[in-house]
Amino acid sequence: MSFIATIRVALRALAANKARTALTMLGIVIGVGAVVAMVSLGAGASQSVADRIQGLGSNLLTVSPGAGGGGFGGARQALGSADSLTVRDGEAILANVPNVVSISAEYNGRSQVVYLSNNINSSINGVTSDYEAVRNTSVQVGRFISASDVRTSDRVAVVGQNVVGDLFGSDDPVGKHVKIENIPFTVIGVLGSEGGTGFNSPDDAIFIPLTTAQNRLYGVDYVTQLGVEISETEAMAQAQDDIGWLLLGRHELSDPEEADFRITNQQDILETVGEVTGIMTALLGGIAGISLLVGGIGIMNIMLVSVTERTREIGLRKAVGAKRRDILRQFLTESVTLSVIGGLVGIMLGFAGAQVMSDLLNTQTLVTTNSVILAFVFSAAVGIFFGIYPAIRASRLSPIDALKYE
Amino acid sequence: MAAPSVVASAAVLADRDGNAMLIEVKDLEKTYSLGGEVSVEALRGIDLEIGKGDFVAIMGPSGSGKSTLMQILGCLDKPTAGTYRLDSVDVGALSDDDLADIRSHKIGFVFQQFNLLPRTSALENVALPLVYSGQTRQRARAMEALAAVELGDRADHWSNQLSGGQQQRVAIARALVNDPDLILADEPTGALDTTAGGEIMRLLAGLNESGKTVILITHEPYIAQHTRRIIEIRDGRIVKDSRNTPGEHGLEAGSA
Repeated sequence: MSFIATIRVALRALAANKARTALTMLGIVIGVGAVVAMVSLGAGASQSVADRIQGLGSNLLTVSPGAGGGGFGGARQALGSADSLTVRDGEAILANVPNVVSISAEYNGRSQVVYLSNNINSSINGVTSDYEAVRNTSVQVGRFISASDVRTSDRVAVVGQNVVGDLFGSDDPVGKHVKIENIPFTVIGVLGSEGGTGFNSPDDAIFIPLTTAQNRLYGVDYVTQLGVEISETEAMAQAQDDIGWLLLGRHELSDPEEADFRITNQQDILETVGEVTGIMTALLGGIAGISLLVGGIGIMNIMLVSVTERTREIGLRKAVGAKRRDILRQFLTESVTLSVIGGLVGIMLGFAGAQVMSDLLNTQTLVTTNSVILAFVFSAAVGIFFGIYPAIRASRLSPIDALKYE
Repeated sequence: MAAPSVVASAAVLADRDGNAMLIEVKDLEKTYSLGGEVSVEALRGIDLEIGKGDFVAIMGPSGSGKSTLMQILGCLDKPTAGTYRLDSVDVGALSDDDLADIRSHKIGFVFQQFNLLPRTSALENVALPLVYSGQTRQRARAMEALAAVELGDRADHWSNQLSGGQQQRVAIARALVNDPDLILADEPTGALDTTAGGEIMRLLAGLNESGKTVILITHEPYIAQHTRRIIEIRDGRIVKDSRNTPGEHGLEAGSA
């Protein structure tokens, strides 16, 4: 029996019972649609993480004080309050470690900020002029803190996007005076929006010269973070090592286990986040896959009913010369046709679902070619897997029993 | 029990010598196991030879084993014991797929309940065996077969839009389409009124005259009278085997 003839017989049998065919297909449609839509949600999250790697400056190492333990890298243990890291450490790194382009030293604190009658508690970031370059950010209005601001411990401030709304309302902040810990500052610029990067979003912070923060506000001589920009991604691991040994030497320590600082690779963190979204994608896809499985069981159920109903037809076909494999192929083709058509409709539904979720949940969704191919192949496999048993049952019917069947 | 008819070989049409047997059955037995110790002996030793071109009626009350014999002759079932040679091929030794091939190329079936595919045109019903025998020119061959049963003008009608007599004629066309040697008809007139039944018998007789071997199962003596040889079965054995001159008491005169 030719392939085309087999397909025609299958389509005719499916068309003979349209309502049942449509309902059976619906199970696969929903299953495949759910897989495509859910995976698109996860893929969208991964995509936005990847975008953010670019946004944060991908060649960035962060050195922070506190017990590192077990080498220099990794994001582990709570941030220490150790006062071990200084601007001099940063200068030494810039001078001695190859491939370091620039360094930004930062002191992060929290303080009460007052503008007229508005009063907020904000993150205060004391930074050097290199912050803009290292953190891949830029001012939207006005200017950023300059090297001379830092040298003279000027009382100037650059504010993040969210602070503008909270503190100044509709006023233009540039040129206004705010009080931080009762010390007056002049606002010289507004930072462009960076998007949230967790709890330390620059959108929520106020930036002042590092020296001003250390000397005038908090009375410390150490920093809470050094941002180190490396010239190329390939040099990151080596630079991370070099910085570690340099700082160990400067802090008169010999064993990396005793390190009083941590070096974090921005990309490592984002890769970890990427892994998490990958797991989320697999989880969502897996849950959606269960509905595809249920759809497959629906196919098997209907095919079994169909085999029973058409017992006489099978007997007749065998009587006029159909071999076992002809019958097997006929019923298998039917179930695969069901699942493949259902799969195609489901993919379209998945595209629509991804679009709707993207609009409703205000998140990025991404229908990848891989997920479409996967869903399609999986639906065809479901057709074969759940169709094979009814088809074998049909093919094993003996022609006389089948012809006698009432 | 078995009484191989001496006249049978004499009646073989235009064939060579004693070798012109289409069907040779020896000591055929069929026992159905109904599970456990219970079994039914449907056939208890059948010896039978049917020559090419003969027109045979197998008669007997229900439970006599005539349907079982029919199924074995039609290669739909295998005997428990004994041999069955169809056109000199020992059918008992063949696999299911080989049997399917034999059914496809050598045997045409006509059933009491027509067994046409519903919601399918007469033409496609007739073409069904061609699909499995892998023939070319399927449409043309099916049209020829339909024309042979005088239903060429109903080719595109769905099977369920046809009358019972017409449906059975479609079924006969389907039995013919692979040009088989043997046509097996199981109570072909059982579901029809006498007029339609007479029409079917006329067609079968015509096929026989054109050279096909036709075996007919019936329990109606007046139907059997259309054939040339009447075999009676009772309790799984042949009890009577006689030649007959067809048409003597037929209903053709009434229906024509």
